[in-house]
Amino acid sequence: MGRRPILCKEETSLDDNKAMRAESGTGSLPNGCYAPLAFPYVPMQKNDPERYSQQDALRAGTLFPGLNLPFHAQMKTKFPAVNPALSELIALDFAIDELGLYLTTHPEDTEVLNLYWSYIKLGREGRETYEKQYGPLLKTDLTPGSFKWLSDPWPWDLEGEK
Amino acid sequence: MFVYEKKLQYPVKIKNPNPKLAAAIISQYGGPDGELGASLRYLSQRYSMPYPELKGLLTDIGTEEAS
Repeated sequence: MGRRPILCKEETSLDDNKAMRAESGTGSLPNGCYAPLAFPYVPMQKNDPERYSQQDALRAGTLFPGLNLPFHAQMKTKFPAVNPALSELIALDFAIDELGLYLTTHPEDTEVLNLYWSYIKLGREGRETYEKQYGPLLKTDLTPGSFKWLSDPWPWDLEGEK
Repeated sequence: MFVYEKKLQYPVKIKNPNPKLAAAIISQYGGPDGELGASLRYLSQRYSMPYPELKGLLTDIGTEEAS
């Protein structure tokens, strides 16, 4: 998309045609100047587009590199590295959440229901592993020895890569 | 992250339905100066709270207001 320069009336008044072009498709600025209006654009997907791996897709928030253009480079360097036990649990909970949403409107789909339950079972195991290593996820989790719920860090205290 | 449990803190059984009273009560929950707004305020204030005990306290109160 070519960028149009800011035009001022004085410059274009000699050429009516040019002035017309300056006014259509441009927004007016103070001092009789015109500047290009904003151009929205929608990324178009081809058939069978390139895909991220599941892990990368979860981190990027989209499966398709082609839809991950804005701030792509910045996000890649700034995204916090979470520990593997937690990111696995987050991935599993994401899948459970999505299947749960589907089941709300498709409660008779036994295939998805079985998948839902199998992921929930995996999730329970994942939670146990995580809690043993990093502490409680729920306030009501039993933490032998002492009450560990208040221990830092809380989820919003995690620092990104520096 | 929050999880919904299909139960109430205290059981509710309505013998005589009363829409006017219901509107007044529900406004205490979701209306202006309601518990819903208070809940979100407590939960937002957590993020600038430096003390672990008080992070826990704001989480507790914010959660209670939503319950």
